[in-house]
This record gives sequence, C-alpha cells and structure tokens, in this order.
Amino acid sequence: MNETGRSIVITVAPVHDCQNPVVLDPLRGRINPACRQWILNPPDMIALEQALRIRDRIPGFRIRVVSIAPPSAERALRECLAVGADEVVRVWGEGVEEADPHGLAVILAAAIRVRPFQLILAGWRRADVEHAQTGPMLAELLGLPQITCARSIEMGRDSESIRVEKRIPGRMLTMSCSLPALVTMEKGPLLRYPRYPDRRRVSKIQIASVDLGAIGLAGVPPPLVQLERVTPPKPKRRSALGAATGMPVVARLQRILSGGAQAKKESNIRPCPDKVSTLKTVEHLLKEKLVLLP
Amino acid sequence: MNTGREIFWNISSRGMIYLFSVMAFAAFGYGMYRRYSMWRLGQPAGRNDHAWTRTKFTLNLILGHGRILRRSQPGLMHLLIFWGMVTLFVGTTIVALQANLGMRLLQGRFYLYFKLVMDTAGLGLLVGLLISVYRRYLQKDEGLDNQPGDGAVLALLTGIIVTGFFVESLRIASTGDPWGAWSPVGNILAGIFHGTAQNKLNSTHKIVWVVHAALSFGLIGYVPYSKMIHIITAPLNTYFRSLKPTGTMALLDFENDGIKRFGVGALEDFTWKDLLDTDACVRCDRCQSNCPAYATAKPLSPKKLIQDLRVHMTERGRLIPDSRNSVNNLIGDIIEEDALWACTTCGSCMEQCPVFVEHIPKIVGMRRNQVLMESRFPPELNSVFRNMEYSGNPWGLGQTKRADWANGLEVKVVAKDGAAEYLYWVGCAGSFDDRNMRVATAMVGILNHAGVDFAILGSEEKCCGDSARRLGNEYLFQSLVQENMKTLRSYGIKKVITQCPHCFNTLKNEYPQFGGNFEVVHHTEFIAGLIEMGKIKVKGGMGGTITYQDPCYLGRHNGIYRSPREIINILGFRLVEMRGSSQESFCCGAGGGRIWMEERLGDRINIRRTEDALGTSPESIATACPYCLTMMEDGVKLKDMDDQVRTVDLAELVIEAIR
Repeated sequence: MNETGRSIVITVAPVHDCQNPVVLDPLRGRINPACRQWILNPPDMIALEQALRIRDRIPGFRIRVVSIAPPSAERALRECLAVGADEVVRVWGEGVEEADPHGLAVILAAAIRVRPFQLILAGWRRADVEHAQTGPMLAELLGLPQITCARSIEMGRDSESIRVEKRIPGRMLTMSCSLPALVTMEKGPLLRYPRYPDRRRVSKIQIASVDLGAIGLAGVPPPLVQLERVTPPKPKRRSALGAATGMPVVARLQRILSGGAQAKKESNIRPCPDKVSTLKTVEHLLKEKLVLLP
Repeated sequence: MNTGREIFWNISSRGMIYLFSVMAFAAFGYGMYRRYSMWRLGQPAGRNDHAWTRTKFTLNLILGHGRILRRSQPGLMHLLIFWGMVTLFVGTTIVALQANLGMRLLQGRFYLYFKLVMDTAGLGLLVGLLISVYRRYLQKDEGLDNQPGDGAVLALLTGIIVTGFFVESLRIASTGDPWGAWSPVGNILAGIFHGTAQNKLNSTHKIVWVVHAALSFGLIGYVPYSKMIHIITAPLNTYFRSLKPTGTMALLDFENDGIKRFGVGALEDFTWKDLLDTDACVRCDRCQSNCPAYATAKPLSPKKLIQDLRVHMTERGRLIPDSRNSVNNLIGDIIEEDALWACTTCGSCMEQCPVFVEHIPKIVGMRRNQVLMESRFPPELNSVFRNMEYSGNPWGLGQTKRADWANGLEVKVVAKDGAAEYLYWVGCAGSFDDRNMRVATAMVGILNHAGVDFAILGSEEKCCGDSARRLGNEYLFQSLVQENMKTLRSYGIKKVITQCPHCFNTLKNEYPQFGGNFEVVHHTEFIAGLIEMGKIKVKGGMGGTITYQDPCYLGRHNGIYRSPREIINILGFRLVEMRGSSQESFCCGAGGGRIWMEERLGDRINIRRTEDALGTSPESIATACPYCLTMMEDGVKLKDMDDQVRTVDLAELVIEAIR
C-alpha cells in the first residue's frame, strides 16, 4: 500500500497547558515536572488536521506521527491514532529533556529519515516554550524547502507540489514549492473529534517507541545555545498619576470612577440619558481638578 | 315489577351482529398485531419491574385522568367522551351477556337505573363530542393540526351515539315502553315520532339498528388504524413509563466489546418503548406548546418528532418493504439535524404529555449516535468536548486554578484540610465564571455564618459532565464521572451541597449509575433548611417586587419549587410569578448543552423568557441556577433594563440579608 512512499509526517510535542500556572524549576530553567499539565501541542494538532484533510482529498497517503515524548504521554498520543493517523512513533532517551531546539531537530531528523516521505507538517512553535526553531532547523538538517506560519495548505493532485497560504502584516501570501518539503502551521481548523469506535480500536494498539540508539544517535546533541538564567516575570508596576489635590489616592480614584456620584447624597442622583450623563461626568471631573487635560 | 325489555326486539337477522363482531374483532386483532410487531423492531427497554406500582399508577390515571385535566376544556371533553364510552361499553356488555348467555340481568330496579345511566352516559358523550367539534373546527385551537382521520373518528362516534339514541327512541315510540321515562333522552326523542304509523317505526328501527351495529363494530375494527388506538396504547404507555426522574439518561455500556453501535442511528436502535410512544401520541400539542425551541422558531417540534418517527416506523414495519423508502436515513432525512441540536432538554414536553411519551431520551439517543459514531455535531462543540476532557471544564481554563475564586475566603479544601461533613460542590460556573464566582462567594459567606462544616474539592473537582451527557457525548461523560468518583470515593464523601441544578441532578440521579451514593442537596433547599433551623438569622423586610425563574433541572426534573419561594418569602420580597412558572416554567435556553452552542436559527430563547420576567414589572429577577442567571442577566441587558432590574441568585440575596 505504501510502496510509493507517499507519506506525510507530523511532528507532535507534548507541552505544558499554559492555562495552568507555569511553575518553574529555577535550577534547571524548566517547567517543574511535578506541576506539568500535559496536552499535545495545539499547533501540532492543527498540522495533523491539515494532513488528514489532504488525505481525505487524495487517498493513499500514509500519515506518520513522530513525537519526542516520555512514556506518560502515550495516552495523549493515542488520540492521533484515533483521528486517523496510521502510525505513531515515540522517541525517548536519556537526557532528551535537556535538549534544545537544535538537539530536538537532530533527533527528529534521525527518526524521520528512516522512511521516505513527501511532506512534513508541524506546528509553528510549542505552546509552552515558543522557540519556533525546531521546525526550520529540521528542514535544514533534512535539506528540505520550508514554509513557516502557514494558514492553509493544499496538495496538488499529482502529489508533487503544495500550495500554501500564509499571512504577514497587511497581506496574505500564496506560495508553492515542490515536494518533499516542510511546512509549519500557525492557524487552521481544529483537529477533528475522534469517533468512539476509533478510540476503542486504538486503545489496544501498541505505540512503537524507539530509543536514540535505534535511530542512529549516540546521545542527545549538546546544546549550542547556553541557558544562563530563568526568572519569573516581575509583576507589572501600576501607578496612579494625577494632580495633587491633597485627597488620598484611593479616594481620588473612587471619586473619578464614580463620576462624582460618591460626593452626592443618594437621593440627589437621578437617571438621565447616557450622553448627558457622560458630559456631566467629564465637566465634574475637570471642575474638581480630578483629571487635568494636557 | 316486571321491568325489562326484549333484547333483539324487531330484529330478525341476529346472525348479522355475530358476523359484524367477527369481522370487527378480526380487523382489530390483525391491526393491533401489526402495530405490536412494529414496536418489536426496537431494543429491550427493561420496564418489567415494579408491576404493582405500575398497575396502581395506570389505573389511577385512567380513572382519575391525571394530566389530561390540566387543561380544562379538553380535559372536560375527554372526561365526558371517556366515561360516556366506558359506561356504554359496560352497558352493551351486560346486554350481550343477557343475549348470549341468557342471564336475566336487566330486570327490576337495576334495569331502570341501567336505562338512566346509559342515557346520561350517551348524553355526556354527545356533549363531549360537541365540545371536541367546537374546539377543532370552530374555535380552531391553534395547536391542533386537523387531519382527515380526526374528523372521521368524531363523525363515527357522533354517528354511533345519534343512531343509538334513535334506535332507542324508535323502540320506545313503537312499543310504548312503560318505563320510557327512565331513558329521558330516548323518551324526548320518541316524542318526534308521535303519530307515525307503527309499521313505519318498525321498519325505520330495523334500518337504524343495522347502521348502529355496523358503525359500532366498525369502531372496534377501526381502532388500530386510527388515533383511537390510544385507548390501548395510552394505558400501555402509562404502565411502561420510566420510573426514574426525567433528568436521568440511560447508561451505555462501553465495557462490553460485543456492542458495536452506540446511540440511535436507525429506527431499530430505539427501544420498543420508544416505538410504542409513537403510537400512544394523539397529537394533543401540549409538548409543543411550551417547548422553548418551537416557541422561538427552531426546526424542533416535539410533536412532529414523535409523529415523524411513527410514520417512519410504519414504513419500516411494512410486510412488503417499499424500496423507495427503505434508504431514508433516520438522522438527516426523517429527523432534521438542526432539530436534534435545538433541544434544551428542559423536559416540558415530558412533563405535559398526558400519555407519558418520552421525548428527551430519543433526542439524546440520536445525539449519542451523531457524536460517538459519526463525530458529527455543531463545530463549536469540538473545543468544548476537548476542554472538558483535558482541563475538566468546558472553557479550557487551568485545572489547577479551579480554587482560585476562593482566594482570600475562609474555605477549607479537602486535599489540604481533609473531608468535612459537607462537600460544597462548586461546579464549573462557580469556579470560573466571573458572575457566578460571586454566587459561590455568597454561599461561602452563608455557610460560614451558619457554622456549617464544609470543604471544597478545589482543583480536584472536575466538570460533573451534565453537558457532555446531554450533548450525547456519553464517553466523555463517563470518563469525567469515573475521575470524579475516584476522588469522591477516596475522601469518603457522603453529603454534597451544590449551587447548580445541573450538577445537583447529575450527582444525585446519575452518579448512582456508577456507584455513587451521596446525599445531594441544592443550595436553595439547604439554605431554606438552615433558616428553618434558625442557623441563619435574616433581617426580613427586604421589600420590593421580585420574580423567580424556575430552573428546569431544579423544578421540572426534580420537583423543587417550594424552597426557593420560601426563601423569597422569608426575606420579605413580594413575589410575582411570571407567565408560566413552576411546572409550566419556560426554559432560559441554556440546558441540553445549548449554552455552549451558537443560537443561529430563530429567535433567542433567553429574550423570550426575559420578556416574561419583565412582564411582571419586577425590581429583581431571582434565579437558582448559573445558566438561568447568565441567560436572564444577558436578556435584561439586551433589553436595556439592567439599571432598573437586578438579576441575582438567591444566595446573593440571602447573604445581603445576613449582613
């Protein structure tokens, strides 16, 4: 079925769900593994959906998911199988956690070049670390043309070329290149929802896992870029500026925010149309010197 | 007293009646058998339990008429027709026993009372029929879609009763029945024939008698082929109705590898009870008249749903399949997809139905097929499902931040402080929705004021799964329940207080399907109890007009109407009920997972309900549900009344009264 080697490779990374607080391990500059909330990188899922849509249109493509992930991510990776990927390969080994984007790209390249492929699709960056480098580095290592930050991708009927749309400030670019190639996806339709029978079928499938030796690597390449320091961001300082009126800052702010209503007896406040009340509020603020015009 | 009459007086061809009866019962038997074989297309339904309870309830309903009487005009009409027919039927049976078994039953005083009762019953029946004709064709009640069959049945019944009275009056006129006065109607009618020759009376009597016999037996034979079938199917349907609360859905067994199909994708996936429902429905329109989807021009009509299924079942149940129709898909062709997703599962249809048709399980059954087997549902639900699965809440907000709303409040968390006497189940809205966090905060204030020993699960709490189940995603629902049950079991939780009726319904009525055995109480019940026990001291006299939106999952599905109103009363408000309250309450539009969907078709349900609320000229609108609170508040804002009308949860009112 796959003698022609028509396959699409998706690289998927398990990432920390940043809706949850990022708790750092300050010694290693990594997200504290104990506080990690794993999800599959959303842009990678968009890439997978694009691959599935290509296959919907042009049957015969084999979709292979390659993921650098620890064993605990297997359950999440099964979702890739449930939505229709043909194969999931999980790569892991000693020291992989310390790899930098270049290291990851080397590992992925080794895992991918084992079999022929037409196209590599990936999310444009990880949702937690956001280097956005692994994709482009992977393309270079494999000697592939690359288009990053795509919004849509269309495969030609002959499966020899692709047309990609990407957005840059103010305009939309339509680009094409011949295959094999690598494309990273910025935005696109969400990954389809798996059918329950498919979930059930894949719950029994063994996910192939390979270590670095099996793909021809002695170990994780040392980082090319050194991480010096990781610090949590300082909370933004917020200051209230205004004319010195002798009133305490908080009281002044309350007066401003209430439009002067704070100073009046409740029985004296009457409703009126929006426009009128806005003008009156501004008049009051200026009169009381609660705000100053430049 | 030698009372009595000659049965078959003036009738020479008795054989005719036996011929008619054989034909009638054969037609009846065959027709019922055909319908029965159609119901059997469905799956098992497990309704053979509690036979005595079921029997009692059914008898009570048949004799007492129950829900039919909720509407006075059709209620009276049906009462008259029903008791008229039943009495006449019993009377005719007595006559048949005398005729065939020679038992001298019609004699003495009994015979006289018999005559009176029969005439009265006949008159009552006639009055009932007249009301029906009036309602259907003159008043043109807008809910009734008149079909030829309806008119045919009315005509047939009228024909029977009219010919019956004429048979009687002709006999009285001809024989000069000495006890004729005991049949007042017949007697009066006999006056018309005063002066007519006896042989003419007799020959007319023969003819009218035959017509009457033909029509009467015709009626029996016609039953299975007309809406008259409800005399059989309605009691059957009542007997086999679900004994579980209406907010409960059936459990799907995912462990069984042998089950390959989930949900309802074809007619045969329904249970036989679902199919029987379609034959019990008489198109009375009560389900449709308070349906929030139908009222706002969505493609869903509960009545049409059931009737379309009936037609489909009849097609599928044909002895000789019609190849033209056999390729119709249940979902898509017979039932519109948009109709499926328009349902809010408010339960008004099931609450109003006099014959206990179950609409919601059919809709959820079809949704299950669409979600689990076809992965076909409104696109905005994709992320909602994924969020519930990965983040434990429909918004996809951080699971670890679920207790952040309680920062700075005096709240114990089970993981840190151990399980308390009560678990306060906050729910997704209370944990993450800005507006509803204020309700949760109010609850904490109330519980602390009353000295209740409670704790929250915090970041260990996950979505109860109500929306997932109502939307048909039973797999997601069950995974959420398993995760929650694990947590609840590990802490030995026994008593739960909820602020959301959906969480309340699911934890109380559906978690037991997974081994859950908790005492679950809604915050209005709990607060009302606390006030009664004197644990909360409220300063009354809050004053002002208020109206109350009955949440569907608190009211209709779980019967809790009193406690919220008690609280309002004790606080000193003047309660003005909206148009449609308590059991007739109109849904806010958010249930059934609809709060997560776009409302693309028709009008907005929450606007419609807000109009009802504003129609009472309230100063506040009180709710007891996060969905209702959101929907009503949005509605008030859209109506530009938010500076005049305050929308508020009962807990917020109570905490104000405490301070």
